[in-house]
Amino acid sequence: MSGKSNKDYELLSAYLDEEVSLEQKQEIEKKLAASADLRNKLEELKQLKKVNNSSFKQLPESPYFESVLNQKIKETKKQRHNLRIFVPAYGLGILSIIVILLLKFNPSILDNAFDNRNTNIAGLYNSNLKPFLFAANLSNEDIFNFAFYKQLPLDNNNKQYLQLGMDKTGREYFEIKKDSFKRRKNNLEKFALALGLNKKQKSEVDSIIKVYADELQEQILVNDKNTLAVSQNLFDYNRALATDLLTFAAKANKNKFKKIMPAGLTVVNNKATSIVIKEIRTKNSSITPQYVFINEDTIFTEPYTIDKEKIKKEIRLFKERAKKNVKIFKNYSVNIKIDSNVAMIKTKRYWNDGLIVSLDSNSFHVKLPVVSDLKIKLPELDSLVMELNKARENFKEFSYSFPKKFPQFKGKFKFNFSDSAKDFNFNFQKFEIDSILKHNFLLLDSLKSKNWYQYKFNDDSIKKFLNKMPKILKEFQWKNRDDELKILKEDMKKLKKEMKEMKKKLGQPKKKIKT
Amino acid sequence: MPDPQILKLDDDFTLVKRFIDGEESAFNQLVVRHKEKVRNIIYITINHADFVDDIAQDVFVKVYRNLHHFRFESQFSTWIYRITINKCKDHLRKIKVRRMFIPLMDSFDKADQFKNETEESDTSKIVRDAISKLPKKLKIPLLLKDIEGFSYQEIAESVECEIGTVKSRIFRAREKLKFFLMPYKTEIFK
Repeated sequence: MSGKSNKDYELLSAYLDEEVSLEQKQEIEKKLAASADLRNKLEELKQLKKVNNSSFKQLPESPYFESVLNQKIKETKKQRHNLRIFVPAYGLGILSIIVILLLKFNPSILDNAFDNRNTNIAGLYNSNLKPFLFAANLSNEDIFNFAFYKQLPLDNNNKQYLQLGMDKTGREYFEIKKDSFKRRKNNLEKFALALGLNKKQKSEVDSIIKVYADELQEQILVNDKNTLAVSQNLFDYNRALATDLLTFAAKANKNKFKKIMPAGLTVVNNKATSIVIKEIRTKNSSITPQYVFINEDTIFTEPYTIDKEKIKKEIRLFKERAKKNVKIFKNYSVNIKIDSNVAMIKTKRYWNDGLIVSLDSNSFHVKLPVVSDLKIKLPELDSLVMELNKARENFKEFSYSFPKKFPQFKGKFKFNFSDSAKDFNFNFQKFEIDSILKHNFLLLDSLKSKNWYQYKFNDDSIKKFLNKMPKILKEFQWKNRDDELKILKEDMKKLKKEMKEMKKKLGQPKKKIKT
Repeated sequence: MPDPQILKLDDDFTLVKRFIDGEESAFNQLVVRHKEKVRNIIYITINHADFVDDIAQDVFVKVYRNLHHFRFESQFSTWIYRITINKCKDHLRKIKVRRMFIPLMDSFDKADQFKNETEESDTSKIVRDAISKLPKKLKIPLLLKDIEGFSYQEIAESVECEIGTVKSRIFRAREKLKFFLMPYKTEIFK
């Protein structure tokens, strides 16, 4: 190798293998012509290659190669099949180990995952929420009825309303109902009349109502994704408003207040009353309120902070436009699609976030979880709630006051109406549509108002309703009053026609009968 | 040695596609087309005829299992030769490890046997033994070139390295082989 580098020999080796470019080939051949050493090296490499090439004998053929291979492939398939059977078991085992390890080292991972999920869902639905009660254009009468009847109209066409309530176990609920009842009217006026309020006192009642009306706007929200959000604070506002109004009534006219609220009512004397009103309102402004979000897809609870300034701005804008008769808020109605989720709710009831949901064609009913972790303990709230409920019952009876001189019927069916001041007994001779009509006409004359109901239940509700009724009422055939009147009118027309015909016949000269 | 079959790239791809589509017999055709080349590579690499068929069958079993994942980015032959060479390397590694645990007497016997064999005057045997002493990374490119007639490009793809590296390794293999065969120069290079 003297005088020649390894690089040259490497290139010579490649030249022998015909793996050089044309330029390299020419260069090597030039060098080969000039160098005997290189020529010797090339010869040496050629011999080596030749020896290598002839060193391996021909490999004998393997006649059974394919058949053995096929057998091996079959065995492999079997093994793989056997292993595949256990794949779910291995998977479950590995998954269990991962879950155990995760929970051991990070026990809060599941809670966090659920929280994140809830936050994500909430984020999807709670954007751009606006006060909903714009749509209802609430009057003072509506707010007053909210205090005493726990009802809020949800739209301006009396199609839906929100009903608050409390079940026997003390669990609060709200219902979104179709307005099958006629909306109560003139209760605020009656309240003022019964108390003999002067103009100044009336305006004071109005101002109390106005304060709550503004705050109520924040309690029911809606957005363009058809999400309705109902604050759980609505119940507290309801209590505070009723208590506030009763306290005012007691102060305004003590004697007359006793006449309309004579049930030994102590709600206004309760020392805690004023504190409770104050605390409820402070609580609502200091704690992020929990809202129930209702959507066509889901229902869940989530704390939600409202932008008070934004809402104030919205209210101002709405009022300005309302003056100019510009309709900025389209009517909203809570429509729950009857899909598989709702079918499940219908049959089983539905639990979610501690909510109990049930619905039929008349109402959407949501029972709320009992909130146990209130940061502020309201003093004497339980006793206040009881007294307030008593007061409400009395107030209902006051607003439906029956005539004192109600005619007495003798019969099997009795209806006792008790007031702390007086008892009224209504005895119906027989429970027939005629007597009910007569009774209603009498009521109409005496009250000069229209405070009866027309029951227009759908099938599912009427079934539940009838199941709870005494046997006598179950067997009774419920008829619509208007229909009955129509039939009566038609019957009267027929009778009139028959009478006319009879008169005609009587006016005709008598035919002589031949004997 | 049997004449290498003339294999067309398209034919291999068609057979692979047919196998992927569920035609099992296509695999048998692939085996027929490539088995001799695979067996030869194994034979020259491990220098032992006894294990050739076992290793070749392992190669085809692996091909059968993985054929669904074949990406048609390289020639099928390159892919199967790469698998073959890897299987050979595995085998040689196993042999090396096994030798470390052979009982002392056995190793003596083997050594004697080896000695007796090398004393044979068969020049082919001498060359094969000399080649077997080469390190794997030099031996395989040399054999693929000199025996199987692979191009540098094919060798580079089969052993997964650069063409320049192949060129260098083949030259170094030849140099070392020349060194090993120096004592038998007169017998071999007549």
